[in-house]
Amino acid sequence: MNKFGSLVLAMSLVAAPAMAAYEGGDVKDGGSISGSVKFKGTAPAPKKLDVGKDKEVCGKTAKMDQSLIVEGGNLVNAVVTITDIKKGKKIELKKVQFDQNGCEYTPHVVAFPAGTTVEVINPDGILHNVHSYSKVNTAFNQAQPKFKKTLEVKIEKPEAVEVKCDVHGWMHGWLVATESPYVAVTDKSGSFKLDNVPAGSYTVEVWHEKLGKSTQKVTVKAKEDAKVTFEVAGK
Amino acid sequence: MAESAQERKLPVDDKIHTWPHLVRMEFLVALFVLIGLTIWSLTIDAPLEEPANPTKTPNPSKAPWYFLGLQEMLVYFDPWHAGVVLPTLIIVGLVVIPFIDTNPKGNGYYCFKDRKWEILTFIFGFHILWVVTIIIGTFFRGPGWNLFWPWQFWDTHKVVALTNVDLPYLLGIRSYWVAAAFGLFAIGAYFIGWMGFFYWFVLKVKGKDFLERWGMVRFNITGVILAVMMSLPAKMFLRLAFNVKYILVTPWINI
Amino acid sequence: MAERGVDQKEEKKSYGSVFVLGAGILAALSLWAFLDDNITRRPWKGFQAKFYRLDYNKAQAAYDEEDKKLQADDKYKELSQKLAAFQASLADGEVGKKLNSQIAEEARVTVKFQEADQKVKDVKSELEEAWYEHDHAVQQKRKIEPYLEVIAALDKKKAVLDKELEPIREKRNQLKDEIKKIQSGAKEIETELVKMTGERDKWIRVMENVTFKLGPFTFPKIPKIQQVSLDEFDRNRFDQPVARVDRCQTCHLAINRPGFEKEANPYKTHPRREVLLADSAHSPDKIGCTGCHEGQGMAVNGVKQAHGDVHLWEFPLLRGAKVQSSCTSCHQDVQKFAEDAPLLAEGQRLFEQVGCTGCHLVKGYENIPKIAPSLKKISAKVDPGWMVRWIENPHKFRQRTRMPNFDLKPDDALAVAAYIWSQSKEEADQWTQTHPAPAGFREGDPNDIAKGKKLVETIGCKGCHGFADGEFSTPLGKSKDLVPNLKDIAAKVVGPQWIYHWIKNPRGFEPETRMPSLRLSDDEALSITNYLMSLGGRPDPVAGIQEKLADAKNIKRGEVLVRKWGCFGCHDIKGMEKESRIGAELTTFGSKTVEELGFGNRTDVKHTWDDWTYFKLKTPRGYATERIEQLMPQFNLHDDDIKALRTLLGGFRERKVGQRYLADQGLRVQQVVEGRRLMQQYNCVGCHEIEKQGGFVRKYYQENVALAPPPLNGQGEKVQSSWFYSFLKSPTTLRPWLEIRMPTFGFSDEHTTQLVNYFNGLSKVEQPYHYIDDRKFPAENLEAAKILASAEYFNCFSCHVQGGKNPEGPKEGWAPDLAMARQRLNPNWIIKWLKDPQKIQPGAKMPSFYPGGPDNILGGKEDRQIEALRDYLMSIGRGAAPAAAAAPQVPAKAKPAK
Repeated sequence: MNKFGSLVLAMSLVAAPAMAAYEGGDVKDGGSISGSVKFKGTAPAPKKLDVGKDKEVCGKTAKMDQSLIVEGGNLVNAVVTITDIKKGKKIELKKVQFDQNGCEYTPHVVAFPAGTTVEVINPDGILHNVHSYSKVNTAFNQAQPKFKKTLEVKIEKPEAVEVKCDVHGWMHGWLVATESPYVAVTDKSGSFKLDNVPAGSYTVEVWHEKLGKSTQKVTVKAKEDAKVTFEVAGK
Repeated sequence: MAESAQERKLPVDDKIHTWPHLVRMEFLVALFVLIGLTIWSLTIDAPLEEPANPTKTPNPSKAPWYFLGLQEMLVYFDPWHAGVVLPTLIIVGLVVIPFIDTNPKGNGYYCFKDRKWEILTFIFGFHILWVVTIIIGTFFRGPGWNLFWPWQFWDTHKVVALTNVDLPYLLGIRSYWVAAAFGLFAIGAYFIGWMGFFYWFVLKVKGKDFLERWGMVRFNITGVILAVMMSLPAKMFLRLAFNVKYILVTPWINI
Repeated sequence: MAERGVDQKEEKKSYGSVFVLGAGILAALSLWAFLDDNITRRPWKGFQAKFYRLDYNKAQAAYDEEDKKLQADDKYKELSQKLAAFQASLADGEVGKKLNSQIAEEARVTVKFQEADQKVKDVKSELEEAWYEHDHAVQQKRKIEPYLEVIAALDKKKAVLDKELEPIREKRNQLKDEIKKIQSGAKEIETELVKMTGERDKWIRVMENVTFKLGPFTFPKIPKIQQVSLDEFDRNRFDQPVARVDRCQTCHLAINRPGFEKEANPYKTHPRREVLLADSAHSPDKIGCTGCHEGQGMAVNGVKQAHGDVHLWEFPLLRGAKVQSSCTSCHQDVQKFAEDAPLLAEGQRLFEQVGCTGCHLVKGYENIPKIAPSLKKISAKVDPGWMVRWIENPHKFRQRTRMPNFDLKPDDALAVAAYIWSQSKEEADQWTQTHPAPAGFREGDPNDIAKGKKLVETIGCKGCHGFADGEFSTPLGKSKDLVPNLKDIAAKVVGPQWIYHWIKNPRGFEPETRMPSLRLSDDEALSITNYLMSLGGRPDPVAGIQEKLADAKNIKRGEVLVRKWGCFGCHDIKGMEKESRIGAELTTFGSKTVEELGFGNRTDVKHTWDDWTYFKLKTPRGYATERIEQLMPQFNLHDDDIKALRTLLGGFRERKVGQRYLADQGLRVQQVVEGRRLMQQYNCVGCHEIEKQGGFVRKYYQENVALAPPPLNGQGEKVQSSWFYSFLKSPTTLRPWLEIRMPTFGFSDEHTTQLVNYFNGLSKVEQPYHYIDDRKFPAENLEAAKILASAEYFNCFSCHVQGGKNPEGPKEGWAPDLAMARQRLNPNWIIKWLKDPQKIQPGAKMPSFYPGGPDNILGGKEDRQIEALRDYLMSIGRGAAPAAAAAPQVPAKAKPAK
């Protein structure tokens, strides 16, 4: 066939598995999964980061290393997903925000279904850049000068992508794209909730940037909440 | 009187009419020959050997089959002798046959007894000497012109010891000139000896009258040519049995 | 004699049965001959017929599938119905009636038109005649009035007739238009349908291609030989150009057609067809097939014959990876085909770097320099006992060394050592005297050793050397080290004195060495020496070694041995610098026939060129016999390396391809090949990624790639050639945050030029020299750029060094000094870089600022902004470091133009 035909074919072949992987639709009598992620062991003391540049803007507040935050025994910024769900609620792509206020990424970890537009905000009035380190997705490195208050990026394929700023070397955060819309990030309480899950048994996975992955099997009954607790050991 | 030949049964009734009986027989024979040739050509392909390469001589490098007799003779005689002298004499010999063959018998019919010596001579010269050397050259000679059985693999690396000596050397003669003299003497002796033998032989087999009728010219021509013809098997014997290379060695000719 | 009569019995016999028999046999034979000739001996016809059937069936299946899709498509059904309806109407419905009446009307009007037109034509003709008469009268000087009258009358008549004709013509045209309009009423629908059925109907063409019609019957296409005739492809043995004919496509009909990748041969599509068989590469119609694959291209009477797998055809088909051997017949530059011909590229690298050319002459590789260190001053460098042991078996000391094992007896090794030692004594002693032991050497001091170790790990030694088992930077095959592993260097050298002077100035000891200087200070050199002397322990002293080496008998015997074993092929030895190679010439080794290869006493090697060569490289003396000695030493090559070398050797053939088929002709390619050789010899890829390969030292910088040496992809396009030349001659600090140093190699002028040409050749640089004219920078650009570069906008100097001024923050965050741009960077490249740095260097720290320039500078036009920035960069390099940029004036917010 001609070049165009083969291109279309190739694209549809690529798109097909991705689309065939998760199917969104109406969920009747859906249940939910909720719980918390605990940290096992003694929490390490948070390290202070050295702010060497643009101190007037970035040095206003102390910058702490956010790669491992434990609050009251709860693991913060852990990403909880269901890895093997094929049918569930519709994927609604809503814009998420990634703020660089005070030369620090807030939130430190953002999780969303793949294909979501991430709005990177630069309220600092100085030059930042958004440099992604990804293997599955195309890596990007875009400048965000003072006059560019917002910058939109997309992570098309499911992957946990680390993001750094080259101008301010201490800045780093994570953009986590998932296949299904069932994803949550634990906050200070270490808890999460995934609702509108169709009944069935699934594998729930917790991922943390420093502590890696751990999984548990969960059975969800219609209109019921399944509780699950994770205990992630420190390294 | 006019009894038709058809009614009378004659002692030897072996004639047939040319048309249609001889012709039809010839036609049938031709037909079957054609069949044979067709089957041969369909089943056996002409050999396609390696692509011509002037920088790479094939081993063995064989002449076309009709010259393999001459190529085989090269083993025993030097190229001038085997390639020029002998072939010329072969042709000369064939040319003088009508002159030296005075036997009137055998016209138009097959016989043996009437022409025993003529036929035997020809068979010896053609079938034995010429054809057999072609057969040897085709099937029994391999790389390096070494001898191989027809079923043997042609090993290009076969090494056969070459320990040939010249006849004078074999007989203990070490001087160059004495060897040359001896060689000439040996060849001369051979010819004279042969002519003597041939004289005695014709006398014995054919008789004095025949010899007179035949004449000295014819006698000598036949004798010399037969001597040359017999020199080939003689030399072959000397070579194969005693490893004799040359009888006569000179800068101009070796025999 | 009695008369012989006629043999009646014989004549009465009827030979009819024999005749019938013979005739019958002959008839059968004729039939057999016909079949034999046309079918049995032409198997290609069968192959083609089978292929046409295959093609037809595939096309039919595809057609059916598309048709199914169409039938399921609502739009198609709707359109088809509409079209059918229209056509029905056209045939005998409303539309048809209207059409017919218009056609009839048009016919009538046409008749009228023709009549009127004829009248006009007649008048025109008469007018012509009248004018002639007039002109004739003029020439004859007769009165012209009567003629003019006639003309006038005719003119009037014509005017009238014209006026009558016009409306009829109009009407006729109008009717014609209407008819056309009616007939093409369905044109839109038809075009739509054609667009929809395009995918399906194209299969009809494919089916038509493989059949032909005879009346109502469809037959498969008649098989025909497909041949490609390549003029002047070969040169015969008399060096005359001769043509070559390839008939491979007679059976391999789909070789250049997509869609047959899954079929079995001979109907399979060629692998990587779009790349390898492209018109710009090896289109079979232009290059044929046997040019690469060998085989007997003109034979079609059998599979074995066509593939040349027959006795006496010297070029059997090359299958699988063996086809890579053919690349060198036409291509000069094979390293760039590392993807398509990996074995060949690797084989060539191995051939050049393991040292084959030290003993073997090969045309095209005559100028490869000697790969081993010079032995002219060896006695100043190594321990004598070590030297003897090394010569006896180098692999015992360094398993991965390139030096092969000559399997010498201990006596012979001693003799060789004695000779080499004696030849080097004079110069070595001189050197030792002028290079005394360094002051301040704190032998064994653990702090100093630790300092040395740290230095070794950071300043770049690891770009070439390994310092522990299994450590190396650039690989050489699977079993060799390109550069010596120094894990037990102390067991080899004569003492720290040599190491110290060597690392401070390698070319001071060996003028042609590859080892560069890292511009070490005295202290640094002392620490590194200390560290190196801690690796491996001191060599065991050998009693009486000096006397043995000085023994005249040994020396004499040693000279004979050195000449026999050809040490001078790889090493420079005093007095033997110009000796010629001792091995066999390999220029046409690939063309050797099996009869020309000696298998010795080995019975385990198959009698093919491939097997002979493999085992030769594996056990070089394996073909020795009781009477024939083999000199080639044992290289201990890995199997994969042997196969790679064998692929290269297979390409060393006698064959000369016609000039017009050669690829890569031209100076540029030559410069790339030459430069690359040099680049590999000096192991630039140990540190730098070049041609998208290499940069092996980066594995030590995985935590922070910014601290690794920069990649040099596209370097020719990036930097100015004159700057690059100076830099290679004498490197300066470009990236102050790097601890790893660009060494000073001490290249000759010739080599430096070759390297610059190499990079220029890779980037296809047309003009290597630039002149920057300050007057050409528009002031507007400079002003705008200053603003763009300021903190209000792009804030370039937040990261970039600015002449003498360093940016804030730790060194890892810095970027190169922009004041250097004028001398160093190619102005056109700067434009490309600013447009999208990530495209040129994926993963670079420099982010992409465009698209996304501010709207209020230079009218928001990004191209102009980039140009302005470039002009600015080209201007700031003048003279001393510029003062910090003044507070920029932000222009008033412009109206949102565009």
